[in-house]
Amino acid sequence: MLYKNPYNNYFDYVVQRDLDKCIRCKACVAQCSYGANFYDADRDVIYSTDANCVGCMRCSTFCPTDCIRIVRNPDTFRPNANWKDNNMKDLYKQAGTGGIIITGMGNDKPYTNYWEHMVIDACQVTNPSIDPLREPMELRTFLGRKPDRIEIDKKGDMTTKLAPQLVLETPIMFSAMSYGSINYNVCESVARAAKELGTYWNTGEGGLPKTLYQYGERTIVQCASGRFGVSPEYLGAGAAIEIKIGQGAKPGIGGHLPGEKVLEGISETRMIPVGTDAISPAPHHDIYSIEDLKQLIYALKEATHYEKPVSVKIAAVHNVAAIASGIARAGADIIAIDGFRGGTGAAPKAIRDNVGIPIEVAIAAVDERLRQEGIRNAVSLVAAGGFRSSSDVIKAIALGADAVYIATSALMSLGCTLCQQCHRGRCAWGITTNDPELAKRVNPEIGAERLVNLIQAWSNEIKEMLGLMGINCIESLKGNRDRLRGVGLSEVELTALGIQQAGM
Amino acid sequence: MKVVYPREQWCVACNLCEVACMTEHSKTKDPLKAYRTEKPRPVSRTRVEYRPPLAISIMCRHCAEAECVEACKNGSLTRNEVTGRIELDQDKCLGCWMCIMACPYGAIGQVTRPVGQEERRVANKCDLCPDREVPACVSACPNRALVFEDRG
Amino acid sequence: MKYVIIGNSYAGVFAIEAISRLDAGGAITVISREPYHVYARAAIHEYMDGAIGESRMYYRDKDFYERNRVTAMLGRTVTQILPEQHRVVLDDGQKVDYDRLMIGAGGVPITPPIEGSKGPGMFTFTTWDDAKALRDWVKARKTPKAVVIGGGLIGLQCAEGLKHMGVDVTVVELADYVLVKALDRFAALRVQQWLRDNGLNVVTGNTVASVSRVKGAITGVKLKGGERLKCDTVVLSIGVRPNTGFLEGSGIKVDRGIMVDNSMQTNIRDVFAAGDVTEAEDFLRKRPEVIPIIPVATMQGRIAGSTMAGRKEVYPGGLSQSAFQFFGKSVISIGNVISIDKNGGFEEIISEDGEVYKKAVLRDGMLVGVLSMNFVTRIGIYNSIIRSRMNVSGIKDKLLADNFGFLDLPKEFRDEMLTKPG
Repeated sequence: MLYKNPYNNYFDYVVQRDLDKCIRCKACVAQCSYGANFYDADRDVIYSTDANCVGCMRCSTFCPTDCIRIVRNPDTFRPNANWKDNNMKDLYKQAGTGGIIITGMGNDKPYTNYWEHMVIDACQVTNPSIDPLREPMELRTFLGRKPDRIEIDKKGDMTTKLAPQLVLETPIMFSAMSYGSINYNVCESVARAAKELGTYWNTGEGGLPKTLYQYGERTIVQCASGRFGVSPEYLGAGAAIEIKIGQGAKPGIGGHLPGEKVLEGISETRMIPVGTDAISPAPHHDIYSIEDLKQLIYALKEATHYEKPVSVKIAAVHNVAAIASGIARAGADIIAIDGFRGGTGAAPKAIRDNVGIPIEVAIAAVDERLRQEGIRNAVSLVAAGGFRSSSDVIKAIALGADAVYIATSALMSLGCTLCQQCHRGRCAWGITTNDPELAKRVNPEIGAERLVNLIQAWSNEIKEMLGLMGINCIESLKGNRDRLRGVGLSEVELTALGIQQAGM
Repeated sequence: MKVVYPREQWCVACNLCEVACMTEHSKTKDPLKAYRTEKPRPVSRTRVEYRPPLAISIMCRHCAEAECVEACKNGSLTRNEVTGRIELDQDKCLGCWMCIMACPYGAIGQVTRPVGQEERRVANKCDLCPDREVPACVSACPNRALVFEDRG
Repeated sequence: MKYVIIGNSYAGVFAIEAISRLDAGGAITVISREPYHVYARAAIHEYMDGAIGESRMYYRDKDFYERNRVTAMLGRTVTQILPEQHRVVLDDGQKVDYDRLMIGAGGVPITPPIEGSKGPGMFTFTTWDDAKALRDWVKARKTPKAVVIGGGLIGLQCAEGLKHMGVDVTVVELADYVLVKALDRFAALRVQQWLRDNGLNVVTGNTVASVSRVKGAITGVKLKGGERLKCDTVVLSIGVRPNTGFLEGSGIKVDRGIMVDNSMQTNIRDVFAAGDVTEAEDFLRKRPEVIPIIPVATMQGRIAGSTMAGRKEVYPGGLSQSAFQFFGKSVISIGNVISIDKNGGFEEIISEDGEVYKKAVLRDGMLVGVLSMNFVTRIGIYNSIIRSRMNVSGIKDKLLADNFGFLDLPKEFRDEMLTKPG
């Protein structure tokens, strides 16, 4: 390409097009939102500017003759075990721009994935397994503070007054994604799916559009450091309130929705002028201690007449167990812990890939600590950050989570291919964009169906796995680490996870 | 009766309805051959209008009182009283374009049709894919921007 | 219910189909002075020169009458209507009773008294028989030369047909240019050029004063200005008028055509009229007009038929329009394509690109006419725009773009058009 900057032109993908199979339908041209595909009427040919390709596969999936292949750019630097391609490309980019590299989605670095080093137990001979197709299998999960003891009257009815609870028909919820970072159609898809599935979705920090209030009883409304969209009406609309302290993809920093993404609907919902940046401060400026957090928790409970559970969401960091203990004691009903593989619409790459800890060890540490302190019943634990399958979910529950939050997986069921361009607002799959032409690529009818399919599939798999463990209720698996064993882990890692080596 | 309705808010301008229509109305029913080797090349009977950010695919609505049928000079266009579909007999069509002039939806196009040794320009319109349960364009639409419905 | 329909063409067919749909027990009688099963009157020029065969001439399938329970009395002429008795009288004195009557008798060629016009070699051109007779006549001649009097659509189509048959043809048009009803001067001059490029002679601003004959055979014509043109064949096609002669004394009100209300009923109870014989509301002019075109005839026929069978329908007014081709080049004209008065709120938008000429006429911001040469794609959308009477001032710059479409129009209009059954 002419006029290119030679230092800055080491691109990642090549669009290969078999011109013999290409029928010039231009599907690929219209679908590419990054300007990589062009139709040249003079030559009657479609060609590509490879440097613009982000590898999202939108064009190749739409090609009716399968004539497009997206391949890694075969240009090869001299192999270097220390200087990997991405190190080099990032460096060149920064030398050109002088800027922080921003990226989207979750940590993609090859840290140890502990889910892949844990295996699940099964019944053989001495205790019978259960066939979930023939016998009842309970996935219903209650989130909220459980009493230290219960009292029963003479008739056998419980007299203890329970704290407010969320009731999930399956232990999987949709994690916080703000309106603005994702568009209305995605919000609606997720909300509809949550309602149909009998679980919850989370507004994230962008408020709740009025037209989605109809899903309020299946909505967790978030209150973050920017307080965007927070009003008495908003707090009253949800089934629970979540205070967002931190996010796994970018612990310790706030959020930033660029002004270009703040269009009319978003402006109204966030209660900020159109076109202004929506900046969430790194900390809540009224929270500098557990005591301050307690004030906010009770302020929110007060505002909603103690009828709704309050959740506190933190990123998984080194001393997560102690922090969680403090949060439990501050009066939270639910603690959501977001591991370092959790996604984001935009984060500095350096932070996304290097800050925080894996959710596997965090959830194990928190569960263990709360048990030791005798307050495990005081809160429910929700694990988040990179759940890819039903087996990840079931292992998290065995490690001590009450339920999990998923977001990346949810977006993938809407088409996301993890191209990590969310921050650019040009998502070709119509997810992390507010451009009306792109946003309509997510039809909530289809979106909700696909989300329901995914969660139903996972739920069925969870039932199968509970059955093979001889368990007929998800509650019985919670924190049951004896049903897990480690494979290929060091003794220290096994200790951190609180599990035994396989074969022992 | 069931006809194809566009749902503008979900049309992503991918043109796959056009490809499917062209393919369904080709001899080989293969998009590659329909485009590359068939002479004359089949022509889609639906057409995607595209004005970013808007897009919509429009084809024959099979009107109850079809203006194309009323305008047709020699009865090449008729309403099938059993199915309610507006049928075009391309072998009979005179290529006078009265139907194109009359259609309030702009949904009738033109196509070259071989007849014996000669090639004729004749009218071309949606036939709701008589060989299929659901018209090809509807099946091909990835975003349900085309639906096959009876809206009374 | 007994229905009688006079006329076996476009209006009649649509009346029959409407009645048949609504009144399954009704008995329909159709009476036509022509002996043919219903045929495509508008395609006779293509039949004449052999472009189309007989099979493509029939407007409906062979079983059309049977399927619709129609008694067809073909080759019969109605001479009298007796509304008091609900009865029509045929040429042979036969009487046919009706409960509801529709007159769809069409038009007849205007034949002014031109000296020498009586005798062989003189033709009109509105029926299949006319076309057959003219064909046989010129085929019997070695070097036929024809003069076509009248440069309207029928005359020019006849002239083209004759040309394709190898006839040396001259068209004589009284007006300054041909197709005065459908075209503006610019377009008409282009059409004349196409005709001349294809070997037709076109004389405008002149007319035939007399036909010369030697021993009864035509030898030429003398024009008003005195010029003489040699020929052996003359086609008289200066226009048609509603065929209302037989209605004298019936009490049915006739102006230029049969006057009808908005459900095609005449001033006489149970007597309806439709097609070229009628004078009904003109959509644009908002006054009764004779609009002798197919889409108007068929719509009127349908509305008359429905109303006769008990479902009253309302005529939205006729919009003149036509689509035609000469030597492979096409013209479409819809509505009012000439700005009658520059001060009358008219505005013209013109787009010209090579062979393509497009013109839109606006009046008080509303589209009232479109003329398009060599461009037909989605042209019918203009029909809906004219019908909607929407203000298009805001989209003037897009109106004639080749890719003009629904997305250039207001969303409400689009939704109204595209989300409901057509």
